[in-house]
Amino acid sequence: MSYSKTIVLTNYDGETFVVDEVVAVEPQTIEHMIEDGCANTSIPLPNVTSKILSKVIEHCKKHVETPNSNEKAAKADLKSFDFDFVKADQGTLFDLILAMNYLNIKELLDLIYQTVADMIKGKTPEEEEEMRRVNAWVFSCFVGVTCLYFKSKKM
Amino acid sequence: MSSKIENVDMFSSLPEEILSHILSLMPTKYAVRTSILSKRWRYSWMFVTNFDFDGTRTNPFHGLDRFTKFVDRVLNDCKTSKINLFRLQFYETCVQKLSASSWIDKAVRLNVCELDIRSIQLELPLSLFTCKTLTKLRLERWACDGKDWGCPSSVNLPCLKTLDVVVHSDPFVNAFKLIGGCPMLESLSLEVTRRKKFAGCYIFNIPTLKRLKLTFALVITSDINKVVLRVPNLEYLFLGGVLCSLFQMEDVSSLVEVSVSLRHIAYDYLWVELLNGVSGVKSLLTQDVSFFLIGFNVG
Repeated sequence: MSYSKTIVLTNYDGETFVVDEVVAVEPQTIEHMIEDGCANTSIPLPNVTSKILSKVIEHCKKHVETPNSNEKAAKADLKSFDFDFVKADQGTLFDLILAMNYLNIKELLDLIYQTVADMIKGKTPEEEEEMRRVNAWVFSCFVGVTCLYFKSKKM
Repeated sequence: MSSKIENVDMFSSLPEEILSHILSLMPTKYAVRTSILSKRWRYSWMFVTNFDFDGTRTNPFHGLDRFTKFVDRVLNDCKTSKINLFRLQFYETCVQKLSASSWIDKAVRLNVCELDIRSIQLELPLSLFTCKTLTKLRLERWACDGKDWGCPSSVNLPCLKTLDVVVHSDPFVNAFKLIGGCPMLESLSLEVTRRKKFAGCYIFNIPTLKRLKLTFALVITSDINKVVLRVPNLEYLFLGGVLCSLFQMEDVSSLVEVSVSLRHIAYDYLWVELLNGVSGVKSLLTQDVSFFLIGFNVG
């Protein structure tokens, strides 16, 4: 019985990546493709660029290789790896989100969503000031109302 | 070059459902703020599935109406049909009783799954106690007067699996009423913050329960009460605060793990009885109790 232990992934740029099956089945989409017998030659991933795909493979590899134990050191190592993994610019995060959605890796997707949420939340003070100025009902604070009151009095 | 990339706003071009998912992961205040970024972002927040309102940091002098108006408006404008999480915390100075009650009612009507309410003043709408979609509930009232929130006599929460309640003096006023109406309860955390007088016998007769956390934070009495555990599926038991109860383990046949973190033990024999009761468990973790046991032979 011949059973291939490696899977070939072909990406958007036509580049091929050879990965172990245990790593390749991390994304649910690929797992389903293998189950359905669509993975005899190579799996086409037309939506994913080579930069993103290599990042995804790197992540899957790390999570597969780290023993699934309750050991504190292993957990901390994985956490710091994830932390570094999402330290990327907006463009990369954007591509990662789309790729993750396509490949269906829930764990990684949750991590990236939370990163983006923290980025949006942590706008710079100038940007927040701008928001405050424009949207009165959200930020209608006492000071603002008093200023308006005095302005109208002057007029 | 990297700074150039960072300045390009890529998130705006994400699909709407991804964006609303991301906006659900932050306090509602921040999610709504994004509405003024651009036209693209104007309505995105309306589809968030998590609501997290924190009025505890609102200045009581000019926050009196602001917080109320904000929550009113957000709940009025949102287009969500199913709320995943609704978290609300505030001090009584900021919010009128009725407002908070109507917000919770709205969350119930929007099929809320997880509800987390913490406040000084709390009046809960009746609809909450018959919510069909609720799976997780946390209720905490920071009482200065020692009074509790009220619970109606008929409770029916068919899907509730996790219940986390803090009561001030008498768990019979509401905690046990709530528990009685939860046929699927798997995880229960009950904290009694001030036990003033003898509070009767607590019987936990919950066949579905897997995790139980019991904490008596402050006990102003030397009376001992009895706690009966009739929980055949219980796997994890935590005891915290003051040990002032005599535990009677009627059925804890599935118990695997016991964790104890006690500040004080009222009488030594309570501790002995407790250890006897859980002698069959695989793991027993004790914190802060070791110094009570010096010169005290357990076994």
